[in-house]
Amino acid sequence: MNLNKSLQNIRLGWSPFVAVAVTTLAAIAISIYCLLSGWAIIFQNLFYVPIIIACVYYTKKGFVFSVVISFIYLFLIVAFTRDSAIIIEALMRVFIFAGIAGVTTFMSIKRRRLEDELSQHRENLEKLVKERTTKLEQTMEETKRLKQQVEFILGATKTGLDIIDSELNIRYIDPEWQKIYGDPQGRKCHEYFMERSDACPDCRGLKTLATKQVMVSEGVLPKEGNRHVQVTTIPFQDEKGDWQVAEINVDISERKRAEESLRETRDYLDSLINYANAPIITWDTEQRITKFNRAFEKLAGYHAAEVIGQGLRLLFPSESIAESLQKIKSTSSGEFWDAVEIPIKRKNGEVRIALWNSANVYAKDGKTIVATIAQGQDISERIRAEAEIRRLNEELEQRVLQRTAQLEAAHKELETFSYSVSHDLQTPLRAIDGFSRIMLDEYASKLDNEGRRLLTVIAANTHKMGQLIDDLLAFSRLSRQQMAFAPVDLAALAAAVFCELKTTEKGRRIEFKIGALPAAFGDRSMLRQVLQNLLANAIKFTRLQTKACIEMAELAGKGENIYYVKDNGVGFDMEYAHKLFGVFQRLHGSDEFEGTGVGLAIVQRIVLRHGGRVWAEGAEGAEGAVGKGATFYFSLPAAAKNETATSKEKPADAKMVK
Amino acid sequence: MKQMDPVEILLVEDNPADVELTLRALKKHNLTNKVQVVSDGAQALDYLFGSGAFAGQYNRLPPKAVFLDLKLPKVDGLEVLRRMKADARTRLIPVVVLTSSKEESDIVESYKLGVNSYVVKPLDFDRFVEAVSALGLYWLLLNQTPF
Repeated sequence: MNLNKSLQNIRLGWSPFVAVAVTTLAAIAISIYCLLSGWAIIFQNLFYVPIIIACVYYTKKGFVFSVVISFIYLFLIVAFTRDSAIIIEALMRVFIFAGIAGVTTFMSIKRRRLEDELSQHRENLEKLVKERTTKLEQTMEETKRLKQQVEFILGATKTGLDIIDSELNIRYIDPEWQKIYGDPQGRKCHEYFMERSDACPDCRGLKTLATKQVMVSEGVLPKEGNRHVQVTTIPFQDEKGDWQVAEINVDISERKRAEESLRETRDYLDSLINYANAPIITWDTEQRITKFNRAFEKLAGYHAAEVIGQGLRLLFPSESIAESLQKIKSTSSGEFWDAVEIPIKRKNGEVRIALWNSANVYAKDGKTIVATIAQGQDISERIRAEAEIRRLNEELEQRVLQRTAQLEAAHKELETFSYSVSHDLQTPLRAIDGFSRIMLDEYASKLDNEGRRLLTVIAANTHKMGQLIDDLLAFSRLSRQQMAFAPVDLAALAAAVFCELKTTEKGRRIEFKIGALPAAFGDRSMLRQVLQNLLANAIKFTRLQTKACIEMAELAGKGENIYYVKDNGVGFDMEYAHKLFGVFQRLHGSDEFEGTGVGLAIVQRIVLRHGGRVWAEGAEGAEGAVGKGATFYFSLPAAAKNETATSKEKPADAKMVK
Repeated sequence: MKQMDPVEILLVEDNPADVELTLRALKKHNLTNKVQVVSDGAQALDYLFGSGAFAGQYNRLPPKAVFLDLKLPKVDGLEVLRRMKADARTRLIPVVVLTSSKEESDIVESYKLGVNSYVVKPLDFDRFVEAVSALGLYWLLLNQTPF
């Protein structure tokens, strides 16, 4: 209302009371002056001023005051005028005053109320505004903090945030990035980031704007030394409805490094497997080949590319395919191979045999088999070699059998030969001897001394020959003989042998002393032969002594029993001791002592076959006269070792007599 | 030797020298002159069983001993021995193997076949004569035969 407005504009700055008072007094004063001057009309409007002011400012009180003023006015009028028309007008004016006062009061009250309401509202509003402001401030604080946090995080994680519009203008660059790249300064995205004057050929922003879909891709920031980032490009519409893209760039350098490292490790492991010496293959749960190393390529003649993804069947020769597949199956149930033979068919059809070890690769749960890896060893050569060895062994056995047969045949031949020799050689000898003896006996008278002597020579030589033949036969028989080991009482045997020999030496004084001899373990007949030969020798070579002393005793020895036969006979020259045991070797002429020189050779042979040894000591006397005698030693292994002597003993060899 | 004269010794020996020496030895001690000599195993069997060259002479007294050499042509000594001991007609006749073989196998085999004596012919003539004499003495004079 214009009135209100203009009234509100009347802000005198004074207190309303003062204003009312002043104007009332002024009105009254002027009224009185006017009344006194006779100007009744002019002053009545003056009263409007205090009335209105009072009503405006004091509402109800003002109204009451207005009524009072009205009556004061009336009073004044009545007091100063007698004009009834003016009095009636004045009465009317009182009502007008009241009315105006009332209206003004009413309006003031209303206005007051409104004002109160308004101020209440304003208060409320102010309160709200304050609240809102506080909230807003808080929110702004919060936002600021958040923004700082985000920017901090962005900076710390090197995650960059940028917003580009559809013209590729930069709308927002996070502060950290700005620190590196600088102020965008209205540059376009490609200018700022990639320093290109035109858009990148595979510009993400443009792509995403075209598809209106979020895109995740990887990129490299050349300005930062080719730092790897993962870019999530998000298209959105701003408040104006324009399309823009927000890009979140997450640093993936670490990840890339890890990937690289992983790739390196994988490559390294792949290399290890690939260049390993042994053929290595892996297959999956469907028995398809997943890895195939170089060594296997060499073994199978296939390139890895040819077989990867194929089934394992391809590598097996048809004959063994079922068996091999069975073995493969066993690995999928968790078993593993440890040196299993599986033949492999090469590309060219050739079959090679290999020995395989396998192991299963499990998933993280440790139970599910993911793949099986097998490592092999080409043993085709070995198998071939084994077959060859077997064949050779069989051949060898055959040959051995043949040889044995041959040897046996040779043996037989030798036996028959010896037999022949013994019989066929001796027979004519007997004849020679016999007939020359008959000659001597019956035709002695018809012969002169020379004749008789000649015949005697013939007889003597036939004897010699006979002896030789006997000895030869004995010696050869020795080699052929099988030894039968048993405990032998040498002392008793020696005594028996001596008894026998002594019978042929009538008229001689021969003393034989036997000491305590340790029991021997050997072939009885052979040992008898030894004693026979040694004692016969002793007897023979002591012939020149008036009393022959022969002694047999034991000598201490380590691990062996040493026996000796000592005589006081003619002895021998130690210089030729080494010849003693040779076949047909004699150290005395046949005119001194008869003998064929085989006796000691036989002794040596027998003792050697028992695993012992022989040696002799002799001292020659002066020129064939009383000598210092000879001692012949022979050793036999001590009882414990004798058991093994059978294994050491040489079997009957077909060696001919030297 | 007249065929009808009783034969005391059948000498089976192929070597003429040995035959002569043996006969001389037997003669030396006047042991006998009734010796039938055959020079191989076949003849020996013929004589003993009355076949071949000696057919028709079966009915007579068997010899007091057979001196048998082992190495004989045609049929060898061991075979003769075997045949003799296998046949009831000749089993009881004493057989003395008189051979130069000292081989154990021969000795064992002979005894297995039931030889009555095995003598190795000594090489030395004197010994030979002694041995033959001793044999003659024993088998002709000392030993009693069942016939």
